[in-house]
Amino acid sequence: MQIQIQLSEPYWRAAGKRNLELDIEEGARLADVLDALRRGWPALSHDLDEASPVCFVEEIQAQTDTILSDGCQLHLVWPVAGG
Amino acid sequence: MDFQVRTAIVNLTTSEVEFTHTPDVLVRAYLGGRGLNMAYLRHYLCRAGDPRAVDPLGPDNPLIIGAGMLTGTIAPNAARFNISARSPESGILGDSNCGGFFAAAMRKAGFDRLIILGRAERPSYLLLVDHTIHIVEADGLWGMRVIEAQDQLKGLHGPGTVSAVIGPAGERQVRMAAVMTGKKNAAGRGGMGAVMGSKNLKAVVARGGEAIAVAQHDTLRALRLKQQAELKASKVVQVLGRVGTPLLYEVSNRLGAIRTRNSQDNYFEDTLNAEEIEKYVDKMLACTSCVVHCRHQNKLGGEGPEYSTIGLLGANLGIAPTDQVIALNNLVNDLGLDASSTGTILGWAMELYQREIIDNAVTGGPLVWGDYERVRNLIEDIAYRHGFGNVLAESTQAARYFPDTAKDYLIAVKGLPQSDPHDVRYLKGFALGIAVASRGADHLRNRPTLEVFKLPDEVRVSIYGRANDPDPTGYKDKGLIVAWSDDIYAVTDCLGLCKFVTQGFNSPHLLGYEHMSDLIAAATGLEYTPESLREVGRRVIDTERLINASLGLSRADDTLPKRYFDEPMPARNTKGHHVDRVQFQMMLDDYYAERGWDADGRVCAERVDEIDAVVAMLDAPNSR
Repeated sequence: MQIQIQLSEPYWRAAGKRNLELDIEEGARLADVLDALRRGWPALSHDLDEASPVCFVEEIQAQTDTILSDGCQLHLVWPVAGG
Repeated sequence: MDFQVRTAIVNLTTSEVEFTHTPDVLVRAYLGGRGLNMAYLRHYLCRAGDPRAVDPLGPDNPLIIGAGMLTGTIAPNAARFNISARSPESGILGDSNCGGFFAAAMRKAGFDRLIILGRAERPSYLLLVDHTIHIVEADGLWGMRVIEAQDQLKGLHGPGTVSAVIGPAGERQVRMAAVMTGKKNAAGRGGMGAVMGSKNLKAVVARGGEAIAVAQHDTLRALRLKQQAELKASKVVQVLGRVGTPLLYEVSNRLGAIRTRNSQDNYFEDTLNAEEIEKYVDKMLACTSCVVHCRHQNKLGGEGPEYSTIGLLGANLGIAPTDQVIALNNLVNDLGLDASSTGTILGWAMELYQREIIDNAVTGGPLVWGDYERVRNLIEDIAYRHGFGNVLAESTQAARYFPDTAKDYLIAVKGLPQSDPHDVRYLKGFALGIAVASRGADHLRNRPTLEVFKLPDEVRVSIYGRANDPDPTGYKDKGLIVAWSDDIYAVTDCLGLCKFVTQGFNSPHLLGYEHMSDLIAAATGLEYTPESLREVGRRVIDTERLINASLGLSRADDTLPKRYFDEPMPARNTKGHHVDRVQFQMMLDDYYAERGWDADGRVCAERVDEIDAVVAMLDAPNSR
């Protein structure tokens, strides 16, 4: 199945683009997607390891064991607050 | 080297200037910056007999400008100073913290703290140069906007001068007027610009001469290099240096926590994301000794915008076009208005109009979400006190001109509009923080930002001192983390450091008490342990609590806007969240217990005696 991924600051700079498409197996969990991102975009791997993203499927926060569905939109947001 | 805090007391009514040193006991107890300002503020308010009788816009209100203990040295990000007085906006403790280059110049001109009393007969400014202070007539400057006034002063006194000025808003004593230095750096909170205007004081101009003496230069230099390397290795420092605080907009917006249309909604357009702002940025700028470089020079002639401004002059007013929000940012800065209060008060007025609580007869015309031209004109009218702008210039006190129900829609605590564009209904520690913050609804006093990090238990224990519930949406242990944040941010403000390099503000790492102790020893020769330094933070918070109590505040004032209790958030991940009134009171109990206050939020008698014994040192002759 295919999912759409939108990367926030600063992840998107490491990946080189804001929006990604990823083909993954049916029943994949969020953790599987993050692993796939690390493999597909090695430059992004460092940022993901340094600060675990807050992830939203559509508008709802997802956990690493959340199962994703075909066509869903995943948002990876940097965990930061305070300005 | 004996470290001394060089203090000048300027009486604008009599044109007398007195030079003194702050007593060592006070310096040990409060360090500098915000802490010493609070000691002086308590002194002057109590000296008046009943502090409530001191008119915030009258000559008896002291205006205290104090540099941090490390400000102007080579310590990382040591640029900051505090301006304090009784606030004309909230009526309580007024205190505003600011970066830029002014405070370093003030110290290099020979002054660590100015206490400005009285009222000048004519518009005036202070010129600080080579350990002297001149009171100079400012007739030609009165009426100028912020940038023009600074340019004029630089032309008069040379390229090495740095000014802190008020704009038209401060001159007209608009209650949310800021003191500005540079194009954007603002001592914005609480109307310190109005206090300055009430004294007929247009500017304080400093021409730095001598380098600031430090106890151990080589040690301080080594610490600088070591800490700078650590800071620059931090991802948050790198990202702030690349795009600045606008990076936070997308985080809050995606979560569903960006204050939108006066918090009726909680998400907005992506046009205000950092990458959109970046299209209008020429380059990134820094303050004195900064290693972060988070401030934008924008292509529209100003600096900024910060996340707070983007949220409150953008989403909160329903204005989406990036260039319009940047233009509004530049406008409020040049007029000398606090962007946070201005955006919050405008959003409040727009909702009152939407609900037909006020109408055209009051507003002078339609006031609808997203109307950029109307907002732009109204901001000008606030600064110049024209028409409906004259009503909004009263900030939260404008409520007295509206029907009683208007207060239900005001996003403010203790009379101060909320600073941060983040809707706090989801994060309960943040909610507690703005409820108890000493200057009113403000995130820079104690925001426990580590709530959003999924930190391992052992890390949380190492930071906060004991195990605590990591759920940011729950109510448990929030007193612990807010009190911890209170203390370290207070110490940061005493030292003149920036919170962007402070442990706990954006990261569990960065500079903590140990780093700060090392810097103090190298710069001043004074020894502190991490524990004794945290005790300074506790003392500052207790002193502020005493000041507010003397102005009539109690537990009942530690509260939140009605909407945050009674209206669930409408959309996205935060949908349904609000602050439960009963659980909120339990958080307050926890917080008071952490602070050692009684159930009514009062500082214990023993501590009051200790603080007042220290502050009483200012009663001694030549020690004010």
